[in-house]
Amino acid sequence: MRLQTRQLALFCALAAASIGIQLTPRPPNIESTSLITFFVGVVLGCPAGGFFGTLVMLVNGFLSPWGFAGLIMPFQIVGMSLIGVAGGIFRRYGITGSATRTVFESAILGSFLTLVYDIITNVGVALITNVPIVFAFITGVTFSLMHIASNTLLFGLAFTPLLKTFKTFGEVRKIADN
Amino acid sequence: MQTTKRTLVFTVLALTVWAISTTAYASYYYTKYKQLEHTLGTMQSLVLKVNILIDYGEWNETQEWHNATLVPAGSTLFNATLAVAKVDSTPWGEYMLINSINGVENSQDTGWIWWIWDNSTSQWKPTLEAANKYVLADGETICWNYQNWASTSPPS
Repeated sequence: MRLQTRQLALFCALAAASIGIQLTPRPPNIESTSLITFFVGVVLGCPAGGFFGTLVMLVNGFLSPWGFAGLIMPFQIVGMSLIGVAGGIFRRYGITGSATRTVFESAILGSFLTLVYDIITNVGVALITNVPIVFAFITGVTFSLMHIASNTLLFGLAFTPLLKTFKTFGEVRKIADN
Repeated sequence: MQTTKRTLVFTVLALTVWAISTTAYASYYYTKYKQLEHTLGTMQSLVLKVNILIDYGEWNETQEWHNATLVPAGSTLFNATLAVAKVDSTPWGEYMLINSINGVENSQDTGWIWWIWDNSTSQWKPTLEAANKYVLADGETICWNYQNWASTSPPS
């Protein structure tokens, strides 16, 4: 992963924004970190997206308003890194078609990646508390559904405008014009 | 990636999310249902189900059924009646004398007398016990009958 100065500046600005929002007191499971991590993956590629997810969740694990994440932190890091990597994969296949199509695709990806993230963190909870994985997932399903619904909306509504806003950056232009 | 293949991939992803989420949600409600069923099973040993009939008989010939009324185990008829009706009573030693039920007061000639349904004979059986002394058993059917004090005919 080799970033140009401008890309590095973008990475740092987005990391600061993401951590700032993540550490702000908010309802549980309503977050914008997934969207920003995915966006970093799209703009800067898989390694940067994965690293971005790791970095944000590492800071969040220590400073979250919900308290120290403890043993669940590695699972959160893996889950969020995957979202960043998925952004890079999405970039590889290109963002083609109409804006409406991009809205639908990003919304579906948002819901799917959030589901994957929740499964990973629930597996973590199950392993830590020594309860069956299915039981952990079923118990936390209300929070998961809230998470999936909010991220579906957020990805669907915010990804395309975010892409348009950042189109002035060279990297984004390359992807968006594919 | 071709447009059709791409559409297919995203459709599969959306369906996967839908299938897993709804299955998990259904399982969540099934688990809750099982927990409540278990709690109900435990509670059933602590509560009784009784049927209470309030027969206004000589007052206006109407009847009021309170079927499957849940009362704590060990409840007396007096407690159960309090749960389904407005009762005015006067303590008399260790007994509670019923003055009125749902505003229908005893008079010189008529008043509230309670009967118990006898399953073996399928008939109402008179009692002499005070309502606050009679401990209910599960499934019993009781009738409060507003009748002439001298009458020995059971509720209709």
